Amino acid sequence: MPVDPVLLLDALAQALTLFLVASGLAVTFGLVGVINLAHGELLLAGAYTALAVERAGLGYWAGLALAPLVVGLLGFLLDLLVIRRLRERPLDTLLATWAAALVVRQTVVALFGPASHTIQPPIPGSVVLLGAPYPVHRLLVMGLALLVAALLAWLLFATRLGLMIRGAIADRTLAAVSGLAVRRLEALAFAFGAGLAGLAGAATAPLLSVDPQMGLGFLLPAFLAVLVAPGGGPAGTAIGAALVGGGESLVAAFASPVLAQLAVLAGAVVLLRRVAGRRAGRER
Amino acid sequence: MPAPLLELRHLVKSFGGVLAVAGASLELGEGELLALIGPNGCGKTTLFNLVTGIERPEAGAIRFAGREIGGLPPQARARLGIGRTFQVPGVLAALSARENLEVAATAAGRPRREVEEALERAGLATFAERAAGELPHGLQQRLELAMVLLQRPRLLLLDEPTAGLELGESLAVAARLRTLVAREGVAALVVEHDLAFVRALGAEVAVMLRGRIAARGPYARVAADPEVRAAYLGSRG
Repeated sequence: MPVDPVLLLDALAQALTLFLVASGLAVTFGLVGVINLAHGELLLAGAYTALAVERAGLGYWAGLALAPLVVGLLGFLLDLLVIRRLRERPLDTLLATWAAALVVRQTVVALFGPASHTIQPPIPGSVVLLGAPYPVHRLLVMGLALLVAALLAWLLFATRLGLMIRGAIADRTLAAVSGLAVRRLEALAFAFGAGLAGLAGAATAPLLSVDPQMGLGFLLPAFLAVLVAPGGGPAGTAIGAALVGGGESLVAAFASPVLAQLAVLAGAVVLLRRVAGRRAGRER
Repeated sequence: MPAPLLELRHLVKSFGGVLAVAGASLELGEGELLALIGPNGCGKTTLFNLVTGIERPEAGAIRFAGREIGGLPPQARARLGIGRTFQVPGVLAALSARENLEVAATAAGRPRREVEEALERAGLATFAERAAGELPHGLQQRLELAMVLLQRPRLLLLDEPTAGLELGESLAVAARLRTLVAREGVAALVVEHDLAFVRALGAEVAVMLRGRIAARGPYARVAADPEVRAAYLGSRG
């Protein structure tokens, strides 16, 4: 049976979009070790920042540039006021970040109402790709995801800051005893991860309906992509996103969306067991 | 008489109601070498954790170079000149040997060329790109010490530096440590179980029993102390 190339392109688009969302989570969960249930709402905040900036007449591109800064600041405050105070209490962190998610969502409802909104793509229309029309903005999001992957790889593996962050991830206590300002690095990494979520929200907003629930749909697949990722770096996240995002897209196309969701859920259970086993093995 | 470099006063730390450190007091002068011995679970490693800031004491005072440091985070204490090694070599396993030293150099504000010098000095140049976690135990220990020395510490806390080493290697470590203390003027507090190593250090010995310092003095005198013999040395022959 010949495979429709557009389906493959869709799977690639889904994988790269998920990578964009999951890369921020990979920083906050993979690097800082915080299970941030507000990650979806940080994405939501990015989308609404783009909406607000567009409504203010500054256009989509200004919104795309401002969203990571605004949401990065939001992430910084979340870390300062909540997360660092609960550093050694993972269950409390879960509850607190869930509460933060509710606060962000309700703030959005209070400011913009419960209805959905539309953001027009900055470059509307399609280009013909592999013999079929393909939306330009979807291609832009894919390009942005690749750019973020390159930026993350450069930051982590070619800069002194990246080296310090990797040192702090490898062993928090040892890094602190060696003189690294671990808390400051974690705060920076958390704000950066939040900023990436904001960027993902603003980037994907023209492809989706912008409503107060839009962050929820991304949370589970993004966590799965990070959990399945081999290693904590951007390459691992890309593989995780390809497996989860691309896999879900293909199963949905060839079988059914329900089966795809079930496959994702089954994958979640298996992976969580594997990750728990890996964590237990690492304890010393 | 000059103030001691490290001064611990009546430190107390418990875990789940069990006293790990129960009023320990200790002084260490600039450039002084002191071996700290005691049976397993007597609080030696917890004492190190209190000095380096990994744990906070419930009571007592920690002064370093005349300054109260009990409220400072670990990285601030490291920058004041407190370097520490661990029982299981404290290396960043996922990073290469060179990257480990680069992290230590960056944290201590040392120039990058010192990383190359440290690799050469520790005999690790040929292993520079290997992941630290894959290095043999002895090389991990050398890497760990090289990282600590990049901090230019005024005080070294060494937690069982001869764990996993043969007798000959242990004695070589003792000789290197004596040289280091004499040459650099570094003070060192060494937790050790290996009594041959402790004797070879030729330093004063402090004995920790049930969370406090029970005796201190030359090895021969401490070894003759009835309480120490009963609780520790006697049981080890």
